[in-house]
Order: sequence, then C-alpha cells, then structure tokens
Amino acid sequence: MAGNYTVKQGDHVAAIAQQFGFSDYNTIWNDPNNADLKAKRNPNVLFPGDVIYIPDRDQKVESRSTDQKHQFVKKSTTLKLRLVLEDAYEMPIANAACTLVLGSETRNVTTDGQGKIDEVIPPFTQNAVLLIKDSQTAVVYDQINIKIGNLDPVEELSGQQARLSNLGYFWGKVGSPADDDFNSAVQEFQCDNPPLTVDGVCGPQTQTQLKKAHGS
Amino acid sequence: MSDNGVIHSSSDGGVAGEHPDADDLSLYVAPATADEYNSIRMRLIPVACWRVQDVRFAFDSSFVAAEIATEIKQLWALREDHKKPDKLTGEMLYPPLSIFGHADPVGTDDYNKSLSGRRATSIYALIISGTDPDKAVGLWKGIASTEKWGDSQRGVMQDTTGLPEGTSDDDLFKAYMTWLCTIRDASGNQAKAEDGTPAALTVKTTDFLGQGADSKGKGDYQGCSSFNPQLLFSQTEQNQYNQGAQNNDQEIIDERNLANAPNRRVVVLLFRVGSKVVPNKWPCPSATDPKAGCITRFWVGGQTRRTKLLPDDERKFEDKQDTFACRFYQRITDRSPCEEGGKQCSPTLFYPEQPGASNWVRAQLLWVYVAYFVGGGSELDSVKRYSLKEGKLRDDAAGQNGLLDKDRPVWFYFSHRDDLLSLDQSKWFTHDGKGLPLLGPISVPCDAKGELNIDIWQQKDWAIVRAPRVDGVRLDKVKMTEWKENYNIGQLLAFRDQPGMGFFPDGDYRKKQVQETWKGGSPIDLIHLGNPGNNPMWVGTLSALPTPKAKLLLVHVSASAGEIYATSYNEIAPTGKNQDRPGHHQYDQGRVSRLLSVPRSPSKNSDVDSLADPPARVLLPGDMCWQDQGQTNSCGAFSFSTAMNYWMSYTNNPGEKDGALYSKPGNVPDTINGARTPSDVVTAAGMFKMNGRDNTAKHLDEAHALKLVKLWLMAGVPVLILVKEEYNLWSYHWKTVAGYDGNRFFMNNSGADNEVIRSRRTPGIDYEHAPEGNDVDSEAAFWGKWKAAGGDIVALVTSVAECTFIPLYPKDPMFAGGAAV
Repeated sequence: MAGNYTVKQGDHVAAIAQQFGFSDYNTIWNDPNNADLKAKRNPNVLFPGDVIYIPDRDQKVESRSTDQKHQFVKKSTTLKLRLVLEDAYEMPIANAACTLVLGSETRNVTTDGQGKIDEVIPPFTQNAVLLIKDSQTAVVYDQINIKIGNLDPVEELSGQQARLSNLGYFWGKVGSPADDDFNSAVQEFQCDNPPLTVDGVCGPQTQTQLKKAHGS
Repeated sequence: MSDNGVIHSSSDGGVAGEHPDADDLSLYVAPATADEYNSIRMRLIPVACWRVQDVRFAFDSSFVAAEIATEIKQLWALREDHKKPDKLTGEMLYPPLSIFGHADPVGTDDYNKSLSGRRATSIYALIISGTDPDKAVGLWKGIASTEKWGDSQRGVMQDTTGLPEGTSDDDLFKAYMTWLCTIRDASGNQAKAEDGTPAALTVKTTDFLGQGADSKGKGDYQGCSSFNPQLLFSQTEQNQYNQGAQNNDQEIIDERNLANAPNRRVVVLLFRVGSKVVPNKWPCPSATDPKAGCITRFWVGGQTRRTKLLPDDERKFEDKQDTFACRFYQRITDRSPCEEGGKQCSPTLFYPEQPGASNWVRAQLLWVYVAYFVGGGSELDSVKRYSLKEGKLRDDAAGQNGLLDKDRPVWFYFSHRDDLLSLDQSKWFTHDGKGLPLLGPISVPCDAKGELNIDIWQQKDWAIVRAPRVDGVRLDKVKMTEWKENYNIGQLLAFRDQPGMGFFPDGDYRKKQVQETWKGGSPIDLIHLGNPGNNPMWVGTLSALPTPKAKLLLVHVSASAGEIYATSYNEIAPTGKNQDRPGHHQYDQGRVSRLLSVPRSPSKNSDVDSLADPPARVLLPGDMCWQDQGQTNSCGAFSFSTAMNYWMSYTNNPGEKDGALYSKPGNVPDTINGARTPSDVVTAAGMFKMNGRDNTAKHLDEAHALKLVKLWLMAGVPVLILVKEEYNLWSYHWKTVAGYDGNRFFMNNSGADNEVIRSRRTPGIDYEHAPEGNDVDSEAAFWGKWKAAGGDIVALVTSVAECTFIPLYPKDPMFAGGAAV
C-alpha cells in the first residue's frame, strides 16, 4: 500500500525501507514522489517531520528456463557505520583496538592508520557503544555511546549541534536551544576554519564547512 | 556530582576544585551508504583545577611568597586524587596540566600579557623544580632579571631556606623551590607519600598538556593578560580610581589594587589522564608571545565583554559569565569552581526558634565554626570562625560577610565560644563523632533565595533553661566565667505525658526518675520549654568543652519580642546580676512578704498560727545541683552553693560538684574550715543580691516550727538549716531543705546522711558519698536533729541558736517574676 510516512528521530531511509519490506532503499529513495526530499536530504540524514513516500512493492518477474538451477541475487544495499576517530587536535587515533557493541553483538575492530572504523551494520541498528582500548592517544572516554540515524541535517540547529559535538566543539546537549555554549562552539569552529567569518552564526558557508569537516 | 563542580579544598591563597563530571559522551551519527563518515574528535576535558590567588604573589611581580607552600599541597593532593594507572602498562599517569596566568586591567594589554605570562611561567618553573631544577632555575632567573628581583625577594628566600646572604641565585632559587614543593603535615614535618617516601610535588615537564614539546611552553603555560577579568568596577568606582591615579593618591591606588585582587590569579587546569595537545595546534600563544594569538580567540564582542562598565554596579563573571573576552578560556573553565562565579556565597542562616519549633529565625549572636574536609573525607581542610549577625556570617577581622563554598559538604559548629580555633583543630573538628558534635554534612545551594536553614538543635550539646535576659549584657560584652570540663549535663527529652520537650539534666542526683520519685511518682520536667510566644526562654551551649575552660552561653529566645539575646549565665552571680527564671522556681513574693511579717525569732506558737497551712507536699522544682564538700568541713559554703544553684542554675559545675563560685575564698566571706556562721551566710547572700534571713524556731513547738519551714518552701524558697547529726565529731551540719511530703523532709546534703556515715565512716572525718546527694529524714528525725543543733559548738560556729534556719530568697525585684524581660 503506497502512502506517505513521516520521519521520526532515528530514522534513515535504509531503516524505513527495511520496515516496509524493501530490500533496497533506493526503491523508495529514487521514487519520483521523493524527488524533492532527495534533492534536499542525504538519505541517512533525515529530519523528524520529513515526509517520505513509500511506493507499492512491485512484484519482480524473472523468466528462466525450467529444469535448471538458477542463482538469484537479491539486490540490496549495504549499510555501514563509518567513524573517523581523532584526538582533541585532529591527530588520528590510528591502529587502535576497539570494541564495538551493536545491540547484542560485540565486535572487535581496529582503526586504520587514519583512525577509521568501517563496519557493515544491520539496517535496524540504532544504538552502538564504542570502547577504545588505546592508551597511546588522548582517549579520555572509556565508552562512547552512539545513536545511529539520529544525525539531523546540517541546516537544522540540532544537526549543527550534533556535528559540533562530534567534532569536540559543542559540549552542551544536542537539541537544546541555541545558547552561549553553542555560540561559542560555532565561533570556535569558524576560527579554526578560515576563511569563515567568525560571527557565531552558523550560516550556509559554515554549514557547508561543518558538513565537510564532519564527513556527513 | 553537581552540575557545577565543587571546591576540593581552599585556603587564603588558593582554591582547589573538582570540575563537574562530564556527561557520558553520546554522539549522534549518520549511517553510511556511500562515502560519508562521522568524525569523532575527543574533547579536552578539565577534571580539576587549582587557583593561586594574588596574595601569594608580590604586587606587580611574579615572585611567589613562601606561604604558597599551603597551596602547593593542594595541588599535590589534587594530582594524587586524579591519577590513574595506564590500562596497558599499569604505570601511574597524572592528569596533564596547563597553566593560565591572569593580570588585572590596570596597565596596557601588552604589559599585562607579559606579566600574566611571567606569573604562569613562575608557577610552571616552581612545580617542575623537583624534576628539572635547572630548567626551573633558568626560568626564574629570566623572570628575576626582567622584574629586577632584589634584596627583598632574596631575603624571603634566605629566611625561608636558612641559606646565608650571598648564596648564588642558582642555589638560592633551587633551595627555595625545593622548600616550597615539600609537602608537610599539620605539624610541619615532611609528609609521606602513599608508598612511604617523603612527599614532595614532583611534576615532570611531560606532565603538561603540551608535554614540554614546545620550547616556549605552548600548551603548558601561558598568560591571558587582563582579557578575562572576574570583576569589573562600576563606572563610578572606575572614575574615582582614575582620578586617584591621576592625582597620584597612593591611598586610592592601593584601594584600587586591593579591589582588583580577584582579577590577578593563576589558574592551573588538570585535564583527563591521557589528554595531550599538539603545541602548534594549541590556541593560546606562548607566555612570551604577543597578544595577537589571544585576540583571535576572543568572543565576537569580546572586547566589550571585558571592558564594559555599568554606571553604578560592578560586573562580575559569576553573575552572567560575560566578562571573559577569550572564548577558548571560557570553554575550558566552564563550570570550573576555580573560575566560574557563583561558587561561593554568603547565605543567611536561619534556625528554629527552639527545639521542634516551626518558626525559623535569623541566627544571631553565636559564633559559628565552618569546617571543610578535603574532598568531603576525614582530613580537615579548613575551619573558619564567623560571628552571626542577622543571620549573616561575619568575618569581623576582614569586615565582610563570610563566604561558603557552593554545593561543597560543610560542617557547622555553633557556639558562644570564640576560642575554639585555638584547639588542636584536627582533633576536635572531626565528623566521626570523636570531636565536637558538628552539624553536617550540609550543602549550601547558593541559590537566589540565599537562605540556609539549619536545625542547630541537632547539635547535641545545648543546655536549655528558661530565664529572661540579663539587663543589657550581650554576647560581645560578656566576659565569661569558666566551667569545668563536663558538658554532658543533660538532654532534651519528650515529656512522658504531655506534649513538648523538657531538658533533663544528667548526673546522679539529677536523674529524671529520681526527681519523679521525689515528687510521688508523677513525672516532672525539670525545665520547661514550650509556649514560645509568651514565655521567654534561655537556651545555651555548653559548647564543646574540650578544654577545662568550658563556658555556658545562654541565648534568649522570644518569639513575641522577635529578638534573640545572648549572654553568659555564669557571669551573672559574681556580678550580682540576678534574674528570674519563670517556670524554673516557684518564687512567690506575696508569700515571702507574709513570712517576713513573722518575727525573726517567733516567741510563741501563735505568731505562726495566723498563717495558712502549707500544702501536704512541696518539692522545689528545678535543678538544685547538689554540691559535694568532700573531705572538708565546708558544709556551710556548700549548702549555700546548693541553695544558690536553685536560683541560678548551672552556676556551679554539676560534674565537679565543687561548690564553684560560692565556696571559693574571695567570692564570699570565709571562716576557718570554710564552715559558715549564719551571719556569714546572710552576708554571702547579700553579695549576690539575695537575702538570707537568720531565723530561729527555738521557741516554737515541733508542729509550728515545721510549719514555718514548710511555708518558706511553699513560697519557693530553699531553706538552710543547721542540724546536729548523731555523732560527736563535726556533727553540726548545714543542709538545704528542698521539700517535704507530709512524712519526710527532703534535703540536699553536701556531706553525708546518717546511714552513709554509719556505713562508710572511717575513723576521723569522711563526709563523702551521700547517695545522690539527697537526704531524707522523717519529720520527727528532722525535728530532732534540728532541735539539737546549737549549744556546744559555739566555739566553732558562733551565733548559733537552736533551730536555726536561713531561707535564701532574692532581694532583687526582678524575681517578682515576669518583669525582667
């Protein structure tokens, strides 16, 4: 049954697709009814209240001769959790042994030379916990709680706060009203990213730079 | 953990604080289906801070005074508290440091940048001196040369270290720094570290954020010029100071410099173990670099933040957090107890007007001792004493209100005594129940309401009696008389069969059940409380009494008067200032007047017949405080003491039972052996605004004589009588009649009663150990002993006639009751 779906916090298109029985989120994302949303959003960075069209599921018909074995490959997209870990001054936390807890599953992972973690995750995964077992760099948190799919678009205050928080600038609560903490974080980020004007206003240029610095 | 961190320890010259725990890092990320990723950058999180106040530096100088050793110990303790073993190697890692110097706004920014940088450098050098003395000495020599340290600085160093004049700077600086970094215990000996080695602050150059990687110390220490003021004067003040400076008015300049002291400080932040920075990425310029690097880190509008003055009001960082120009510095000191304001406040103290009362009044006229313990643990950090005026803690010496640390566990001790700081503080200011009964832990919220309600009655050493105020004598005027060491004189207990609380003194004689037995089994309250709206009441501390110099303070509480007065009760008697205690005794002036109309020595029974009959039973209420004459013959003095205690409770020490004031030679007329003739007793009474009336009943028969004594008791007056005990030696004896019940007379006996004498008396003299100090005789026996007194003892006690009795009643009209307050 086709219809509109209103995005909730934590949703991303892959999870929505899974929820509605689509193996490939592109079936939804590329639907012409979602063209406007697609122009505006990254499928992994939706905003609560966004409306997404869920098309009918088509039956796919494939003809093959009988009396033979055929291999069908179900087309689906792979969802990943990709993190780049850095210390307070942008030095990668490289080759560090980590434990990544995804729901009931615990994986031992190691960052690469750039501090990257690149893990395939089930589409429904919403919470993860990362433990960095490294004493060579300034890892000051024993455990990092990660909410997957909760990153809001950079145009939104909460999205700006979340990115600035991930980048170590914003220490306040994501989703709180803009205050001096946020203002300070924006100014600090602008200051570290010339030629941005340091004005504490997270405008389009700052947003672009913020998105770039964050990687999403 | 509170939202705003807590002060770990504080001293005149510094503050060590714990930053609030950072929330768990919770990050919101996007999943990836293409090449997007999420950068997760660690934060630089300070966990604790240490602030050296301006007072530790010479003015306009980076030379640190020897007193900084106190604060060095704070830093040492703070590092020890926050060290953690490396997860892999087990090596103990200390939280990395970074030092920030701050100057006041007087002078140019460039000058202040240099000065604040030198102060930071000076502290840096000092704390690394234990591990890199050459570098430390080199840095100090650089500063000494710039600041032209001279004889005064070298003199301090020589005095402190004991090195002679002429010692080279290298040796002198090094020795001074070593001395400052030595950790000492309370008695001044070098303390021991956990591993038993002598404790000293030993910070390595790699123990800083920048790990000593930068030759100019970037990341490790820096000066913030006057960019981050704690306090900005009002425009009015500033104008006055400017004018004064223009006129070279040194007094005004000094005043300005004093007022600016909060702005001059060095703050050391301790970051999470493992934190480090790449020096060239660190935002702050080095201590010797120009200010430009700072200015790029200013808030938008930072210049305004740090310079804007209000016409009439000061601007303080603690009010709105908007006086720092440097955004970066504000971020890392956010919620720091060493920087952020609102960490201390001056609340108004209220306490319940009396135990269990629901009306809270402003604390007044007591001393309050405020004790902090390091990290809330058992080690005493500091005790400060304040007076209480209208609920405010007053630091009288400094002429300002006392400040309490916000949200830091604090213990209070309320007392009338001003001398408790002279005690062995670490012994008496403990919260394990072994020292003073401190009240706490109490958290001071420092909220806008500014009130702090403390139920001081929870402090378990109050003595509570009722009495009016002594005329005009206030706490600050009274020189108190001493008590002996015994403050466990009683406790507040609920009445058995009526609402309210009563104060029940402890002690053998004073036990409640004994008193109740005396009164025919009905419960009595020795001292009434309650009825606060109408009856004034005295309460007092017997306060601590850790020394033999315990004193009693009484605080007058009267809801209707809305006032609280305090004085020393002990002071009353020697100065002759008697006062009434309504409800405590049963003084009936009308009855006394009628009794006074009876002749001193009634010649016939009919002189007594016109008087109404006494009730079947009378027991003088209150606390007679039996006094023990021991192996002396001072029965007269001790009996007099006992009777005086009825009128003025606690003027003798119940624990010592030594007669205190009234048996002391010099206080009252004395005779050989301390025994008193009736005229001595009368004279002594007169010295305390009391009347002693020397009566005899020798012409009366038993019934009339006993009636007369009973009527004096009924009027609420204790009666001294001279009796003849059954023994030959020392057998003429003063006792104090305290009551009767129709069959028997009850007496306070400072010596011993018959039974005890019989059982205990050893050849010679022994009046000790009367059972609970009481003596009970049947009426017939009482009469017999009384009647027999006189005759052959005149050689010892002159003027004695048979059936002598001396009622002791007040001369002062205050005792008419009710009019004293």
